[in-house]
Amino acid sequence: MTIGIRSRGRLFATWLLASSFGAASVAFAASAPAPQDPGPVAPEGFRFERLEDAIKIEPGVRIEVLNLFGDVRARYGGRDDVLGLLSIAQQFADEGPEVEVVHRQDGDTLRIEVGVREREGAALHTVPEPGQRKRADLVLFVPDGRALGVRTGDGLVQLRGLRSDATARSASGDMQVRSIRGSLDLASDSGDLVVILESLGLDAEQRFAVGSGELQLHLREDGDYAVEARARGRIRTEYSLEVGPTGRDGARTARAVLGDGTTPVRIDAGVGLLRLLRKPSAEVARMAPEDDA
Amino acid sequence: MSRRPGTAWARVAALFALLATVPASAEAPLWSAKAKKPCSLVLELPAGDLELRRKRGDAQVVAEPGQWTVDAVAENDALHMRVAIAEGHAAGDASPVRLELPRHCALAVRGGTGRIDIHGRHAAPLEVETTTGEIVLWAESGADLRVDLATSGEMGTDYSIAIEHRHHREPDKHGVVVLGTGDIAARLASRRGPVSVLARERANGH
Repeated sequence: MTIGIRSRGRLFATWLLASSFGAASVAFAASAPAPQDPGPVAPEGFRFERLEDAIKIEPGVRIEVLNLFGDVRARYGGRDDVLGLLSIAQQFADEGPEVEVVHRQDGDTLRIEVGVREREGAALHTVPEPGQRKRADLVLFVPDGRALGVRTGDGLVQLRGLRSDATARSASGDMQVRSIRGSLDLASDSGDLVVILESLGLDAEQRFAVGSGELQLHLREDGDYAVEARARGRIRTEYSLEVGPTGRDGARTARAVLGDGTTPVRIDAGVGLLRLLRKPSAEVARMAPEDDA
Repeated sequence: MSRRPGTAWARVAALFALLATVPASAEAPLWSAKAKKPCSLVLELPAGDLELRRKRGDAQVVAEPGQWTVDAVAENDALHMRVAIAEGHAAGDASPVRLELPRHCALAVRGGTGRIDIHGRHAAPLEVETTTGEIVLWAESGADLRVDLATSGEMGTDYSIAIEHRHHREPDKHGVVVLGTGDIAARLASRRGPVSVLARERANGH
């Protein structure tokens, strides 16, 4: 089942580009009223297309998103067997074929891809041409238990509140991930990665990697993790660490065990900065003196 | 800090034989003295960055002439020194102050918001405090240090570190890094700034 709502029109380029649009801001964009203070005006010929879809998705079906044209944000989408998909595609009218967001079921996988076609009926090209200015940002509302896979180029990956496993890969995009009730496997070649990791008692390995960006991992101080990190760059920590000797490649291994160490956490921080940070327990936060609250 | 009269300066002379105080060029020290054993220096640096280097020979403060002022008095068997930004200059614009001190001299630094880098081999206790300024101790290979760290910020390390959390206190963390025999005590404390013990041989890339 697919329910599509399309709207097309002009909006202010800077608003679209600067907005960290969530559902609310997307909804705001839909009406596109003439504001009192329009701010910067979009260049002549600039256009955008906003698309909303509700896609039926059976339990056990995995979602794979390929978007090398922009950002991907995912939020918890409830218990119904429906994936919510919002997209905003934007480009200049003289830039040739429109950027498209398509989805198709491929066995046990629902694939959502962003790309362009040279002509109607031609294959979708998912890799942007160098120098092109087309862009498409996606927001997904992921129902309970549907594993999510995301791949971006330089676009942001932002995952919040999902109740499912998630993997993400990016060439140079940043990742911001928090409150995920499932396993995580995240890697960005040159982007930064910020993760607030829940303590769920999972025995599946949680994997995080960056090449040259900063990897910032927040761990609950009342959690149960066994962290093993490999780093060639600097390490900053709020937890005790056992640091091994430096290898020939300049890398060393750092280990930390929190609580009973139930959940293995594997980190490859490349040459970037690794920060292991403390997320205070609810009890500690509750006991905070008033002047510190 | 105002200078104390005659008797205080006599005690300074007992600890450090004053050589020269007049800068002649950018490389000339703002302050210089011969450090005898034992010697102890308390350095107050409310703003600006500091680089400590352990060197044989004279104790000296090297800085861009005109940007900094140095006042020193002897007090309780230690030389107390205040290094401050000269009038008309801002801490953010000033080049770092370099303190060169023999390794047998105990040192206590009371810093502020500036960064403090500590180099060289230490054969006497070392104590460095800041409010929010970053502190980095660059440990030489084969160092015999026990480094106590305290901050509510982050702790950087190239070595194993034991960290204890102190909820609702500031600083809210205490860390210990032991290098070699741990014979020489070093204490690095900041209220909120990052505090690090890094390996000198890994300095490239830091």
